[in-house]
Amino acid sequence: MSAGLPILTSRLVHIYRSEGSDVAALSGVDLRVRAGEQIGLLGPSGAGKSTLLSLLGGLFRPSAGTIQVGDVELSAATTRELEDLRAGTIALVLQGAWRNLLPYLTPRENVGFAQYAARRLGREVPEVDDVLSTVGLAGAGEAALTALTPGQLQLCAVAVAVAAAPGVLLADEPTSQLDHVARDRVMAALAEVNRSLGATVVVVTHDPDVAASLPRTVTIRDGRVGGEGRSGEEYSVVTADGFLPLPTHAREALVPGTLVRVEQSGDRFVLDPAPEEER
Amino acid sequence: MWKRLRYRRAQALVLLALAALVTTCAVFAPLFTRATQQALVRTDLASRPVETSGLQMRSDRLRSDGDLIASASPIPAPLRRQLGRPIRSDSADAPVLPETLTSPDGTIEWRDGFCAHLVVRGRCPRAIGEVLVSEGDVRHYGYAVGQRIVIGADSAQASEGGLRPELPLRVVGVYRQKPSAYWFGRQVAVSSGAEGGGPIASFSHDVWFTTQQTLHDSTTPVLLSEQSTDDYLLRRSATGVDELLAATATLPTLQRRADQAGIKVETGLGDVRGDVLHQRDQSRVTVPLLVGQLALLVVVVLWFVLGVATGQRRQEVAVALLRGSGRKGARWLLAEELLPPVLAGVPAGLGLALLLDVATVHLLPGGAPVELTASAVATAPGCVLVLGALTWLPVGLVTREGIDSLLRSVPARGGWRPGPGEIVLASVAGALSLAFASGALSGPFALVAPALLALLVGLVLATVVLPVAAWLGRRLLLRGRARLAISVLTGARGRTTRRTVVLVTVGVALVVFSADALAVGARNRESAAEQQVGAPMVAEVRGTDLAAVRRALARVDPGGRRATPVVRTRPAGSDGAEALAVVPDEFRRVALFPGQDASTIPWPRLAAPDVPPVVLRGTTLTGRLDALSLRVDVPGGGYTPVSVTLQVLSADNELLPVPLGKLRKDSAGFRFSRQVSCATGCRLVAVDVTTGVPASIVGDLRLSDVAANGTPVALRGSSWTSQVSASTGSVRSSGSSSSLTLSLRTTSSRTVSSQQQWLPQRVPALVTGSLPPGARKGRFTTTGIDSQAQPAVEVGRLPRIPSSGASAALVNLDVLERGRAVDPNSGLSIWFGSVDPALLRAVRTALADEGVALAGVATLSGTTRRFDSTIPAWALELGAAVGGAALLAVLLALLVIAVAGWRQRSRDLAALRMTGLRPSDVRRVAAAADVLVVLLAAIAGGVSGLLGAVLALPSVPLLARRPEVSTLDLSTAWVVVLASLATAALVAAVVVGAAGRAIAARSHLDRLREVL
Repeated sequence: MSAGLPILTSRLVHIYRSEGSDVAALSGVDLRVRAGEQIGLLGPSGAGKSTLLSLLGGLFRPSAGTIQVGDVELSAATTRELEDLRAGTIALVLQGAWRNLLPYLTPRENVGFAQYAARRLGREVPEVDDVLSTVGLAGAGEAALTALTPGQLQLCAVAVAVAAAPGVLLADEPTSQLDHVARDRVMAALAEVNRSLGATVVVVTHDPDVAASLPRTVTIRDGRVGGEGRSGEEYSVVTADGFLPLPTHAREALVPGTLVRVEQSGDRFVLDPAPEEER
Repeated sequence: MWKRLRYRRAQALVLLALAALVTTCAVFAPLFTRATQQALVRTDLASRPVETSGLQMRSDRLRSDGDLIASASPIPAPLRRQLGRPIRSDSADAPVLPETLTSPDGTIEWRDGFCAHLVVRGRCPRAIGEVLVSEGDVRHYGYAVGQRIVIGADSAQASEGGLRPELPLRVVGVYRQKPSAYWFGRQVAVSSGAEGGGPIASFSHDVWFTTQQTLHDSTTPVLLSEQSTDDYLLRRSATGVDELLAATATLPTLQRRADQAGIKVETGLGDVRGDVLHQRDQSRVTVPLLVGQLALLVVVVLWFVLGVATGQRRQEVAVALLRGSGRKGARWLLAEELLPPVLAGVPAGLGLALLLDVATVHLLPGGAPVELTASAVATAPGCVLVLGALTWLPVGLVTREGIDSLLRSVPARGGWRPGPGEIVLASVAGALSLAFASGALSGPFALVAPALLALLVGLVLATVVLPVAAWLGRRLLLRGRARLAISVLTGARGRTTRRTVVLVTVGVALVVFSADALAVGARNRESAAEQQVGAPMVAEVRGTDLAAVRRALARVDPGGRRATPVVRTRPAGSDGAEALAVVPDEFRRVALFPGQDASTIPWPRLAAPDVPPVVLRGTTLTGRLDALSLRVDVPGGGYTPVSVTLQVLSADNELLPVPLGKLRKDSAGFRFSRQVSCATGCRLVAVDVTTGVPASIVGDLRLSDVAANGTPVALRGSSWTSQVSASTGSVRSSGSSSSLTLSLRTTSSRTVSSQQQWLPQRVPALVTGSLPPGARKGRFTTTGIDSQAQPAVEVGRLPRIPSSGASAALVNLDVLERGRAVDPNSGLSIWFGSVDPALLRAVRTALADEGVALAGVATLSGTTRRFDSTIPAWALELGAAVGGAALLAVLLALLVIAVAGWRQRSRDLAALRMTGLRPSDVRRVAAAADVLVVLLAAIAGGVSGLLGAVLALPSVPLLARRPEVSTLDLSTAWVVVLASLATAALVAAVVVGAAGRAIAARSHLDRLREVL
């Protein structure tokens, strides 16, 4: 079984081609996630959250920059190494429960299928029943998928993802289209996975309630890390090249082109806009 | 694996069915070919008389011992194995002595075991000189048991041996022949009482059977025309195609050995071999081509279905990759789902092919055995390999994609533009279609033209249908026809629309083409049979007694509405035309005219001259012949007497010359009185004027006061012909009702004549083909019923004449009969307007009353059956089955396309419901979208099939052999074509319409929440 693994991205850039033009989905993301940490990726649609998650999962290769998961540099990993990573180290829960499941298998069989590659690699994997218990599906292992509620399906998707006890669990919108009861169950399952397996959990979400339940959130804006929230407190993050994205309320006051003097006062930094006549 | 198969049962079943169909095609093609060849051999042998399917060896001297062919040079083993024990016979001529005008001639024969095959009254011969005579001989010649008969022998040989040239015989029994194959097709008791042709009357007796010692004993003089014969019956039940071909391959060897031994070999096996080889070659090309394109279509369908199936599994492949299974694991994930049903299809297809083979063997005539050929067995592993590779390929293609690509629900490429593969396919299909259309490619390979053309049309249509449908849908929307617009637009955005169009186009094209080919083939076989037989039923008449036949028919069918006599004349050399002499008014009602309308034939032009004959009745002909200023000049001087002869025709159509006398120099004329055989009436046909040496005659001859037994004969001088010739001069006739005056202006001929106009100079003839050599301005020489040259004149042309060759003449029997009698060389027959056993029985009875028998009866249905029992016919029937199977394959594909994409489709339709469409409207939209596409493709397929038929049918063998007279008609069988098109389109539309409605019924709004 894997313990939680740290994630480190540095100046991560991802450019893709759309309708003949190059589009930068991510333009220099620096992110550090500690081993066993549980974080949420927030941000508006198109900000690049899912792209970042896919890059962390090794589905894409970055255009520039590095991604390190544990000791592995993903951007330099071979296809085979990526396959092995997905077999047991990195798990991804895709948006939409059905997309994570083989529809003709029961939850138990789906989990068993997800453990197949890890077993082939000689990795130790938890018992299927334990996995199902971890996510709260202990009694539904033999049910047909079509008999499950949407919430149970999502839990099943989580169970499949953690079947091989990964070091990193990446979940894309795991609570979308769920009612609040199911949503809470899914988040509880993720928390349990984090707690019991020690897995590092990265969750992409739009849901402020979900974000609020996470100890750390990272806001992606325009392809960059736009801020962080910790225990309800919002922070801006200074990038590796010294840029500091302003929070929304500050941007309303400091319109583009505004000259700002940064002054240090003790351990505090003050942004002091230049007088009107100097602008 | 089982869970996956159960989860997608329909898909698994369809894959299994398609794989089974591919295997069935591959295995069944050689089995069908084999079955047809076996059936061909068996039906061919069964339809032939035993004497032509067997083998006869004949020596012109009596055997010394044992079989004719010596053991040192025996019949080659492969042939010997197929032949039974020889039936030996020794025979010789047996002219009854003393030779008188009524003493008969015939044959005396020993045949091995003859007694067992005769019904004998008395006893069988046991000693030398004992004979059996036939019941006919008893009836005709009064022979009786115990009677002694002496027959003549070879006098020259007898004198050398010091023997009397005669052999005394004693009748010990009377026989009747039991019909059986033992007789090798011979009828030994049909000649008794028959009168032979020739100037001297002669009579025949039937075959007399005696002991072998009678012919071989040293005290027996050498008889006339001694010969020995070995008849070998073919073991038909043990003779299949392999045995036949192996056996007949040795015929040249046997012929060589027989020639060295001075033995004649007669067999029809060489012809059988030729037929079988020819049709086997046809089957080796046509059957694989027909089945091959079905197999190809099914492979394409299977490829499409596998593509749809693997396309639907993209998410699952992504899951496998996400869980670290790797490409190999993902491939097996798919392969475990797809390969088992596909591979299970191989044994299923093998079993189906065997069942089809059993059914084929059962349906084909001849009772061929069910055989599992090595080539059929060998195709099964090939099917495993091909189907396995075919399944593995799309699996490999899908799993090669990256996870990001797989996570999209459809492949990246889309839109209406064709892919490179489709462009290549369309180009190849187009080039080959063009080659067929231009004639650069021909032969049986034209069978694939419809499929190729349909593929081209389907691909082009598939390319244009989406943008056109989109445009049309928008236009309909603008015009406010929302429901139809949505249907069209739904079809335009259907992911599988392109495949549906191609598959339906090709499938329907095959259906239409094969249906048309089947109908055209059947029509042409029937036409060829009609042309060959000439009427629904034709009975050959034994003998030449046309008058008796006419009398019999007049009793049975007075109006000639149901049966009519026909005489076929055959030219002795190459300078006459074959003619069919008929009674026009009857013939046009009874005979069959394939491809022509009998009512448009100018029958009145065949009419006889409307001049009554000059009839005399009596035995004494008297009258006066006058020479009026007659001058005879012999070149070089001198004089030659002028003979005048009347030609009269007896009631039996026998031409009797009646010499009136000679006009000597300066003779003014004379009265004459001559005996004539005209007690029952004769008809005057000509007056011949003859000189002893070639001479020129100028002057008039007058024939008058002619009376028969004192009764005046009205000569009607104006009813005689005049002749004017540049080479011989002229003979002009004139006179009153009671006299005939011939005005002669001849140059250097010996005989000139004037004919009665009742006897036409030239027979009017409707002709077909080319006129015989020497014909000028429509005047030609045909053959009369007496087998003599008959001047004729063309009065019209026909495309073909029933039951006649490429060049023939149709003449009026009433005209041709005037002055002539039927010769044995001519064939006398009765043609019937329908197959009416009761009528045939009545005619047979009426003929028997006249002493005439029928030789054989041919029916149109029988001949058609023979044409139907050929490999081209069976291949076309197979083509129809191929068309049906092609439609089935396409329907399966449509079902899979519908089933595989039903979730996505139901969500699309649910989205329509969200816009406010009622469920019933959604169902209509769903059904109409697919039905419109299918109908469009079906029409394109129908047109492709039709055009393909135009390209292919000229090269498709419709008959086993090209007939001498072609009745080929390749015009489209519209009824069949339209019916097959409508059926195929309807079935396809119903299937997709039902599938569309079923999917629409599942388009609940909660589908919209599904992400898959």
